[in-house]
Amino acid sequence: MSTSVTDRVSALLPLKPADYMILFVLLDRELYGYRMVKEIAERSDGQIRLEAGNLYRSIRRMIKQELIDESDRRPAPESDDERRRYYAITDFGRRVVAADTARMRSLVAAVDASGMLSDPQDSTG
Amino acid sequence: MSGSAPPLGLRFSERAFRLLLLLYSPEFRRDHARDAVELLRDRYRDETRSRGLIGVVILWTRTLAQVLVHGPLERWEALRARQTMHRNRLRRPGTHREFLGTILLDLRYAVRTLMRAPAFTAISILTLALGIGANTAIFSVVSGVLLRPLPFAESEELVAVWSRFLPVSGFDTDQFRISGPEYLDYRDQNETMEDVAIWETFPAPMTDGEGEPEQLRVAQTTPNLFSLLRASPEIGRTLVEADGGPGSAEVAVLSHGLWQRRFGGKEDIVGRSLSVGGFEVEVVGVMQEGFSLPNENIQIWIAMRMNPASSGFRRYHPYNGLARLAPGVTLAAAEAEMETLMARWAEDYPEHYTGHLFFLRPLLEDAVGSVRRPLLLLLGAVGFVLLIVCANVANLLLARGEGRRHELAVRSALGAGRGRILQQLLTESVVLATLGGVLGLALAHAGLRGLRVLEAGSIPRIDQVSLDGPVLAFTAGLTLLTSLLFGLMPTFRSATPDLQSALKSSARGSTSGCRSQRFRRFLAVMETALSVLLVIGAGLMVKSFWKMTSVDPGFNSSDVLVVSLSLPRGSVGPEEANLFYTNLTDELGTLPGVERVSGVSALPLLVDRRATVSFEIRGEPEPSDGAEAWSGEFVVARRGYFETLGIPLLRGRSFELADRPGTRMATVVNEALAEKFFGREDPVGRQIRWAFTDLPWMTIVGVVGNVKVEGLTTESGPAYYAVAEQAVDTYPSWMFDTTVIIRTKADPAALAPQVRAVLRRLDPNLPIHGIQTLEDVVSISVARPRFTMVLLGMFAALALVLGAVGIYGVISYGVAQRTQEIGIRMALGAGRPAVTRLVMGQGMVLAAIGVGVGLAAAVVVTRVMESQLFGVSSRDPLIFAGVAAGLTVVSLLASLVPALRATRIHPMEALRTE
Repeated sequence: MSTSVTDRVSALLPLKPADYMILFVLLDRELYGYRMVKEIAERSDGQIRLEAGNLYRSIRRMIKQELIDESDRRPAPESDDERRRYYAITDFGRRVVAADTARMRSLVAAVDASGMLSDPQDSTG
Repeated sequence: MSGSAPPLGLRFSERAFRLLLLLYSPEFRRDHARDAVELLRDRYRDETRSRGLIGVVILWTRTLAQVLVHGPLERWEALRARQTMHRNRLRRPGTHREFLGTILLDLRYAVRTLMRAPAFTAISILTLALGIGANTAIFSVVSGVLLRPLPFAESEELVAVWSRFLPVSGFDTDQFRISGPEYLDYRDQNETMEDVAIWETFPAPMTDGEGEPEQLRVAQTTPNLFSLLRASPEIGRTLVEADGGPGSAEVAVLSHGLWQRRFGGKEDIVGRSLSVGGFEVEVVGVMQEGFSLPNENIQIWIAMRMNPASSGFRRYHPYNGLARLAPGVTLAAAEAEMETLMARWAEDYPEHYTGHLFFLRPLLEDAVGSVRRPLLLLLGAVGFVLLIVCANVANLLLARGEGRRHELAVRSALGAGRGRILQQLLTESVVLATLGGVLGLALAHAGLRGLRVLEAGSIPRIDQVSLDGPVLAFTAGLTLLTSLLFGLMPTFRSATPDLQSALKSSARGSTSGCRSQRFRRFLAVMETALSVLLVIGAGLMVKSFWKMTSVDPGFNSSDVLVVSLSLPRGSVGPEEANLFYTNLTDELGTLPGVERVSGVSALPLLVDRRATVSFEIRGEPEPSDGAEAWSGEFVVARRGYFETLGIPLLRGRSFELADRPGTRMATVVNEALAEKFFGREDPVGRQIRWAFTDLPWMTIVGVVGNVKVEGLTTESGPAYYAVAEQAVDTYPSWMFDTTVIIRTKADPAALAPQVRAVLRRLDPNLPIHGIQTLEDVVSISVARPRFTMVLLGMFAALALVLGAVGIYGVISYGVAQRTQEIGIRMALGAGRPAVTRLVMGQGMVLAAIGVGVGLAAAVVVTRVMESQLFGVSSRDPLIFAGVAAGLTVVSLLASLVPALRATRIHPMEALRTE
């Protein structure tokens, strides 16, 4: 039984917040575990905190789902530490994170349009 | 990479984490273990850099919680994936419940096995429960007191504002309050604070509402305190800027507790007028439950009018200060600014700011900084106890493992793999630890109650302590860690049975037995060493406490009852107040069993707000700039005060009837003042008065002994006394708050009801606050060292017992193993003394190594206790020697029992069993 790429993408949506953040921080460059944890904490304003206990479980699963992959590319040798394993987002991963972002965007738009959550006059600050 | 070895904490963390990774599937470990450990290492370094020890605790709590959840889940997923692959390949009916099934099977088997050995099981569970319970209780205190943020929004931005007096200023105080003009200057000149507030607390009686008249703790505060803390009211409103403006009405905000207790929680309290200390105030709101300033139990807040015209004297420092850092400003920046400001102040007012300066301290540290060390000390000690517990249970398991080698060999022969047997044995450890953990939680719950009694108000925020989420997570993690620690080591040995020798009917003396005996000896040595360490720690605390309590306070505390009273300033004048206390002391003096009665404005060791007032000496030029000014604690005493407390008169006379209003004012000074400011000269006859005033001169009529006022371990400073009768006109505000002192012929506590009755008769509206014996006052003043001492003592006792049991276990097991050998020796003519020597010699070798290691460790480790000790060195040779000798004797006794048993071995029987 073969499935189209679109089907495979939508089967993974919505992404878990932690998975989304992992893909997000990998969008512009390859990272190793510790950098990933730091970037995610920073970009999520400290809301999503991964540690050694759960990060690699997510990574392992996401590699199986072909969202990310181990990277052979390395930064310049002087800033590299050969023990570190770098991860990169796959093309498929890019499609999934784009699809999930679009999904959330349309959701937010729908909530805003309904006007049920906030009064427009209040949201000027 | 740097070549130096990582710190001990990091190495331990890495090892513990590697062990925890066993919860994940082998495939996961193969692919990710190295990276995960690497990540932990980086995070550990981050946390120690940014938050220190607390960061490490937080990191570990989070990591443990994650590992406990994700590890088993990952393993479960991996197993399912493997089975799916299997099924797809073999098209065999699925056995996806196999994993859970084996766990259930193991659990059932473990419970059955443990029930077959009830003594072993009970001892193990109890030992574990003691270790886990003690750790849980102490951690809950650490968590509630030190780790939990203060209950204010963005509480990390809050800082306390204090001043400090260096000796050159004439005073010598590391931490003091600030004055009104100083507050206004700082508030207006600083650019690093969002806002600055001050408050002052005092006791005041209240009769409104339900119940007996009550003495309230009142805070008069600048209204911005509430917006600064971002606190909102339960009902009504908090104080606002306008409440502090000129001509505004006197308004007040109540605490939730007071509202519930005295006013039944009715909402119509808002708008009501109350009389607080005789002043009328209008209630405008009630705060939410739990709102309080750290370390203050305030029941009512009254708005303070603070403006340049009403700010009071620059020299008068009654206010506590609190500030909130402006967004994005660090404490370091605020401190740097403070330094600049202080330099400017010293130029503008050299007479005030020579040796007098401000400093900032984060509010949480301000509230709990003084208990951080004792609590962390206890946490460390209790951690050692847990290690001993683990060693002990591991020892028990090993002994049992030896006995079960046959069983395991059979199972192995029947096809059980090494992993399968390991899983089975680990299940047993986890079951034991879990039962121990549950019982430990119950013990911790009971222990916490004991702790609350024991701390006697000496640990701030103790009300925040409970067995809450973080503590339960800690206990769960600790339980798992413990089960791994005591379970893994022996199981690695047991799970590799030497099939051949184990299946032979007798396997005594086999190599694996030797190895495990060696390991058990190592455990016993470790236990002894840790016991030595803990007992030395406890010994040092006991000696220090003993030194502390045998300090002479300068007064006689036995057979004295004291009661602190505050008259309402708003409705009673100073003369009336004096008359009231005169009548009261006269009436109390007529009670049967009363020897003497007097009173004082500030009782030693009790009143925390003491007044240090500078003075001038008639006929002496004022001290020049930079020289130390003349100052001392100013106390108003009632006649007979020195006699009632038993403070010795050294020269001159005490206060007499002749010291009446209208006659020359008399003062009595203490020895410290006489020595410091008059040297060899006799001060009697010299005159002094408050500096910068034109109050009447007071003639020194006598010199009395020093008393300890701040605490038994604090040196007494200079002090001078005035007598109440003469103070009415000169120092009217000193007349209202008095601690009445009653010296009795017999048990002072028995007199309390009669004292209460006299007070009720004289003034039914007066709140009676804290009738207690003077011995209780002294005892409460040393509550914190006692708290540390008692707990350390308990942990040490536990360690000692467990250590002795450990040695006993190892030696008696050794004897059992060597029954034949001993039998042969005896058959060949060895006498009982020789056998005793042989067995006890073994025990002594273990003890000697253990004591030696323990002593060496103690030399290093007890240094962290130094700041907690009084009058004893952290390497006190007597304690070290005493503990070494004591532990040796205990070990001797522990090996004596198996030695005696060995002498009763009958050679023939021993040989026949072969």
